[in-house]
Order: sequence, then structure tokens, then C-alpha cells
Amino acid sequence: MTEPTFKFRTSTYESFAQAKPHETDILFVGVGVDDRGSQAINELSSTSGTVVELLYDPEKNELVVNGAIQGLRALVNLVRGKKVRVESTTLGLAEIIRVIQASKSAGLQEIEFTYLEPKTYTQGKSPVGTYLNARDFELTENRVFRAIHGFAHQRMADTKECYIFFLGYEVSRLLQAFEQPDLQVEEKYAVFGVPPFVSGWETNALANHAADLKRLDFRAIHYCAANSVREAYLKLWAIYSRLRNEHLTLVISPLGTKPQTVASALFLIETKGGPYPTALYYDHPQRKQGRSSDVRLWHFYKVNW
Amino acid sequence: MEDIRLAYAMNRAEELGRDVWEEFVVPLFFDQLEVRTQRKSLVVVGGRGCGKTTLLRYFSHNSQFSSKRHDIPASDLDYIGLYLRADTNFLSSLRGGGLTDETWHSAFRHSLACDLGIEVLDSLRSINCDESRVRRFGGLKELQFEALRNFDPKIGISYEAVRSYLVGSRDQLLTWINNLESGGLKPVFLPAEQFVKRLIQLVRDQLPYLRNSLFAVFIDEYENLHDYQQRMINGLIKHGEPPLVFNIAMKRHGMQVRGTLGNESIQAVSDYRQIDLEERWETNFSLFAAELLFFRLIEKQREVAAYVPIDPTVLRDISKVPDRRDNTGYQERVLGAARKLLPRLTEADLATTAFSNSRILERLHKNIQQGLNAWNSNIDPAKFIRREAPDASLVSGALLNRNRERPETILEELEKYILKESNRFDSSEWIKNNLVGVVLQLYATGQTPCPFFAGFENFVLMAHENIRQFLELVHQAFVRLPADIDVGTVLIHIEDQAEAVRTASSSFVREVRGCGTFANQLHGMVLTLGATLKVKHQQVSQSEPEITHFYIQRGDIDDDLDMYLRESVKWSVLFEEPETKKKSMGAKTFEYVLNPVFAGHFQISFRKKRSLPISANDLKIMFTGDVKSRDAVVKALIGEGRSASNLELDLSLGDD
Repeated sequence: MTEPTFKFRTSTYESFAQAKPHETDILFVGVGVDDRGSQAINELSSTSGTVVELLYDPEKNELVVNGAIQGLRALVNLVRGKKVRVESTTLGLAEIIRVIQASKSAGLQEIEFTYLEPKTYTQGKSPVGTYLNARDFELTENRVFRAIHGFAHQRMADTKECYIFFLGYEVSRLLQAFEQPDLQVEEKYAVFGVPPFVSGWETNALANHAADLKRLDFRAIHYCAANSVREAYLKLWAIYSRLRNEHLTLVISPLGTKPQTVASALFLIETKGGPYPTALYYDHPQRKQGRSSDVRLWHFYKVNW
Repeated sequence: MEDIRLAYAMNRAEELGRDVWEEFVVPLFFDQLEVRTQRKSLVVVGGRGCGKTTLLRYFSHNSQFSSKRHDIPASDLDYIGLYLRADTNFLSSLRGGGLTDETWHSAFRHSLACDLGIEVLDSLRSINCDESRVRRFGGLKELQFEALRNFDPKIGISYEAVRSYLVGSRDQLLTWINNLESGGLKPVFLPAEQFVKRLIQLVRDQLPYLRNSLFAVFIDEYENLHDYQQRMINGLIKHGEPPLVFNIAMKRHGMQVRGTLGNESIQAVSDYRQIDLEERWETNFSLFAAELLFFRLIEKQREVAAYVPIDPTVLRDISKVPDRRDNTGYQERVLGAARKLLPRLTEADLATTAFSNSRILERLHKNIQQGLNAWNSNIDPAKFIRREAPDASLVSGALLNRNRERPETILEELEKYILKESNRFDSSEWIKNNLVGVVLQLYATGQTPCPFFAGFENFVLMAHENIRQFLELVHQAFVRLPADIDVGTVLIHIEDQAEAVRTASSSFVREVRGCGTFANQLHGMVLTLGATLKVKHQQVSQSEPEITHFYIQRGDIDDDLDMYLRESVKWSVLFEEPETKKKSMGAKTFEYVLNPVFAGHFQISFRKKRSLPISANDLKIMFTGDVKSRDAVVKALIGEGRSASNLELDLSLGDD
């Protein structure tokens, strides 16, 4: 694939009642760890014939579908001929990738993603302690960079690579990426979510990373809307079109917002097996319980291919 | 001319590349390692930044047969180092996907066979890296590898063909992993040990100069391997024998399993020899640090050589190690020059410097007044602030805030001290035990970093036998030099050093966020423990000055806490040391020292002086609690109701 072919239709609402989403056959969900996760699962479940819970284990490279370990083929059979909605707020990158792969393999032409923006992240809302500041603590934990079958990449002494990091609040995710063995790459770009979900949040994200972007010698900083799957997808394509080279692997590291993660999944699947190699570098974070509160906006992204 | 201010900018082994021949300063324990004459496998252990990777890369063929090396003794060909670094991200993909464990074991063996095979062949290229080497050694073009076709008929015969096959086969493995669901073409899996041994045998048979060579594999970052991958390597360690032996390097607690894939297990001494780098650095680290300090300067600017007491060629020469280590005159010259470059303040100078700072004097006055108020004393605070005795005056501020000595007694002793009569500031070691703590307390509330952190010796103490930490401290100090510095008279001012320590230290605290799977828990613990120690340091009474480590006083260390402690030690966030005083009856008798390189961030002491008892439960909250519960732990540990900004008279018994 040498140019973007996926098409997007986006709708945004202030509430589920306002959204009045259409019925689907299957809703894929993960685990709700905060208000928006619980709301998304509860409300959207009522619009779907079947609700399927997905969980990916990055240590074992296994996908658990409704509590049972399943391969991609089972997922293909599950979605064949169905209308599919993917609740991305509660799912991780690996689960999202597998659903898209299964949907494409099953011959579907379209799937829909939902994403609920938080009103506030508890990190910013927590009272500052007498001795400790809530801002010094982060939203996810227990991260480990692990390859996903289909998008693995082996670093060699003579490998040429370019890394694109989508970045959010948590500088620890970037720091950990560079703590991994031998990640000394010259070509690396950062992408921040601007405009952010809420005006001003981008300042925190940039401030958290500024010193390390300089220290790690990032080539350039790019921006694309925090809540737009389409913009992030086109941003990846723009960089890819400029850099593409059969001897250079473009490695995507989606450590930013979920819409950017969905875009990364779509981009990787679209370019997989193409003439210019792409790969994934991802840390599979566990989201903290109660990491955000309330819901600001409901986003519905329809993607056609 | 290169900018010497950037002489220490590169302080990670990865930044130097595979060939470190020119950059490698031979450690002073090098001749005791006996690597080249190894009889059994080596397990190199140490925290990040202590020099594992650089050491391994030094032993690798890239460095030993570097094109920068002009003379290679024939005996050096008896030992060929092959360097492999565990690519965690890729190796983690060799699992799951609906395939059997046996299939993945074979895939991992194949991955090893390809990587090691390429390394063996690349080592021959390193030996023959230029025309003169080819004339002396050579023979690569004539090599025939037909016997390898027993493993796969597609393997070519020549050197280039075999290498090309191995690169292609490695790529094929990756392609197969990325197309498991669509039934991608699986490569012919090569059995690592047999394949590499056969390859080595063919090389030894055909190249006379390698007839007696031992090929030693060094696997770096072993701790990042999956359990089954570690088991497989353990098997290779157990059964390794010339001409192919396996060595590993890992962080502390990096060996998750001791077993092999069979029923055996590996044990230190019988199966391998452990080299604990941090333990080795405990002797002569200061001298090595000073040598490295000047070595890097000369590397950046040759003109510096005229002003410094080291010779880079000597530092690169293994045979000169005893001369450096055993020559006290040389050591004094090198250490003396380092102390001149990075001067420190004696405790008396520290007191004088503090005394010359009006803000510090204001704080001292406030502390004295607070103590006098608590004693209902009407003595004029100014009587305790005496220019002729800065050290005793500073300490008086703390003594007055204790319930031991009345203000009149302290004033009387101060007068005796000034008159050089027998006094308790000396005899009861009031100054010796309290001065540093008092100075840290007085600086802590201001913006100016405490000058206590300056000095080569202090940089060494904060670095804690860690080269990277030492270099980063020095780097931050050097970047504060003016651009037009005269290399002959360069020295770094105390204030700049203190500022440099704070910057470097904050950057190390920040980096904890990147320390492995549980980085955020470790970072949370560092912030919580650091805050606790900081508040302890800020107590005006200084009844327990310089608390920098802790022990677990009560409660069970459950599996989770044990894991967090091991991770902390693995990532050098905490150092685990045997208890100096037996304080508890529990089975665990360790003290945990916060990495002293974090001291500058919290502006606390980096010296191991006093310890703090912490319950297992509070410690677990430090790792995993929310901000509120962590804050509560800090409050409990410093004494309920007391805060940094509002310290009350400490009426508990002092510990002086």
C-alpha cells in the first residue's frame, strides 16, 4: 500500500442520550476502570446483540475472548457478516488490532469505534498532599514493551529505523521506551495531541516531555488533534510518504491518546506486507482504577476500507 | 578544537558503539577477572551504569580486533568474544500465538543460531579488517562450509554465502512470526549449539591462526529473557566447553530461574563464576573515577594532556594495571588533581560559607529564637551567633531545640569553645555529629543548593561505584563552565558543582520512571521515601541528623513487597546491605539505602549515617498507595502533627 485508503466519518455528542447510537451485532469491550469505561460498557451494551469482552496478555501473546484463549480465526468467524462496534476507551492496542484484522479477514467493509473523553483525569484533580504532589504520579502502571505477532520487529546492528512516538501525559512511557536495550536511533519524531481534549492540557503534556525530548535528541515535534483518529492516521501517512524507503523500517509507538492508538492500529494493518516496512513498539500499559472521572464527550468513528 | 565542556556528555555504553577499544579505560581490577583464561562460564552482575556492557563490548571481537588497534599479539586470537544483546521486544514475540512451547523453543534456538553464526563470521572479518591483517591472517575467501549443508541444503559454501544465508534465515523467522495466522513460510530451524559448534570447528580446521581459539559468547541483558529462554541459556552455561562457552551479564536479581529445560539447574561455583562489578568497584573506584575524568578530557582536547597526571595509552594498557594500582605516588597525584578540579569544602569551610550567607543567618536566628522560646529563655539570640565560631554557632541552633541541654549550658560551652578551653562541642562531638545535618537543614528551605554536595570525593560517594552516575554529575558540572575556559587552570566553583548535583540528581530521580515494568511503583517509592527523609533532615533539632536508609522493623514481607524490593535493587534505586546493627529478630536482616545519587534532588545527605525503621505495610504503601495514603505514611514516619514548615521543639531524647 502506498497511499491512504481508509475513510472516516466522525460524530461527537455530549451524552449517550444525544448520540442515540444505532444498533450493532457485536460490541467489543475491555475492562472499565473509571467512570467513562463503565458508562461506555453499560450504555453501549444496550445497543448490541452480543457483547464480547477482549483481553490480550502481552507476556503470553494470547488473546482471551470472553474468558477463553482464542486465535484470530475464531474472531474472524465471530464477526463474519456482522455489524461491529469497538469500544476503544476500555480496550488496549493489541485487542483493537486483532478486531480490525479479524474484520478485514472476514470481508467487512466498515467498523465503528467509540471513545469517551474524560472530563478530568484524577491525577490533575487529586488534592496536593502536604509532602507529595499528585502530578508526580501517573495514570498507568506495569508497562512492558512487548512485540505483537504480525507487527514484530528485530533490531540489528545494521537496521535503519525511524521511530514515531505519539505522546500524552506520561513521560515514564517514553523513558521506558529508551531504557530498552540499545534503543539508540537517530530518526525519531514526537507527535502531541494538539488541540487537546481540553484547552491547556497540551501544556502539561509538552512540559512533562520537554527535557527528555531535548536530551534524547528528537528530530521534530508534530501535532495532530488529540481526539481525531483521522488526523493521526493522516499524520502517520504524511510522515510515511516522506520517509518511505524499502531499507528503512518505520516503527510506530502509540503512547498518546486512544484515538491516536486506534489510528496507529489502522495504519499498521494497512501498511503490513507493503513494500516499505512498518512495525510496532508498544508497552501494553495497565490502566489505573479510577484514573479519570466523568465523561466530557462521546466520539463515534466509522472507518471504511 | 572540540568543546571540553561536552567531554562527559556521552555516558551510556550504547552511545559508544560496539568498538570501544579507544574509549576503554582498563579497570583496576581487570587483571583479577581472569576472563581470557576462563575455565567455566562467567555471570557478570551489576546495576545499570556500572560498566557491564562496556566491559562485555571490550571483550568482543569488535574491540579486541578493532581497526584502531595497531598491534595484535598472536595469543589474543586464542580468545574470541561474541557479543549478543537480548532484544526484549523481539524475543518476547517467540511465544503464544496458538503454537506449542516446543515450536517456540526451536524458534529461539534458531534465532540464537543465526545471531551467533553471524557473530562468528563477523569476528573473522574483524580480525581481517584491513590489508595488512589480511596478509598476516587472511584465508576468508578460501573458506569452505559445505558440511553446514547437513543442517539445510540451501546453505551456501563460501563465507559470504553462509553469512547471507544466516541473515536471510533470521529475516525469514521474523516474517514467519508476523504471518502466523496466514501460515507464513517457516524457516528451517537450526539447532543453535550444534550449528555454531560445527561452524566454529570448520573455521578452526581451515584457519591455522584460530586452531586453538576459544569462542566466548557474552549475552547482555539476560534478565530480559523469558523464563524458557533463560532456561535454555542456563543449559548452554552448564554444558558449555571449549571451543564454545557461554557467559551472561545481568542486573542484580536478574536470574529468574536456575533450572535448564531439562531436569538440571545451575549453581554458582560449580557451573559458573560470578563477577559482581559493584563489589569489584568498591576498591579503587575513586582512582578509576579520577583517571576517567582526565581521560575523557584528553579525548576531547589533546592539549589538556600537558596539564593532567595521566597518560591515555597507559590507561588503555592491561599490563600497566598493577603500576597504576600499586603506585601510591601516582594515585596521590591523580586524586590530588581531581580534587583540585572539583574542590570541596571542609566542614569548617562549610560552616564559614554558610555563615557568610545572610539568608542562612536569618534562618539560624529564627531557629535559635524558636529554641529559646521553647525553653522560656530571655537570652539574646545574637549571643549564639558568633563570627569567631561559625560551626559551633550553627550547631547551637539545633541543640537549643532539644530538651537535653539548657540554653545557659550551651552558651557556656560556646564561650569555652571560642576561648579554646575544654568544651562539649568537641568532647561530646556536638559539631562532628551535627554540623552537616544543620547546614543541610538551613539550606533546605531556600533556593540555593547546599555547598555540601561539591567536591570530587563527594561526587564519588554519590555515584556509588557507578560510572554513568559519576560521569553525569561531572557532565552537569562541566556544562556550567564558561566557553572560553583556560584548560590549564580549569576548576569548577563550589556553587556550580552544587547546582550541577541538584540538576543531575533530579534527572536520575526522573529516570526511575523508566526502570522496568514497575517503574511507576519504584518512582512513587523514591518520591515518598525521599520526602520522608527530606522532612527528617529539615527538623530543626537535628536529633537524628542524616537519616539516609531504612530497615523493615515489623510486619510481613509478602510476595508483592519482596518483588518490589527486588526490582528496586535490580534497578539500583535501593541498595540492599546487611544490617550494621541488629535491630530486629526477623529473618530478613537487610538495610535499604536510597541510591545516594538522589540526595541532591531532595537536598539530603548522601552519607550512610542513620537509619529509619519502616513497617512492611508502610513500605508497601510507598510503592503502591495513592497520593493520599503515601502522604499519610510520610506524616506518620516523621511524627504525627509535625510538618516541614512548622516544626515544634523536639522533646524526644536526642541521639547524639
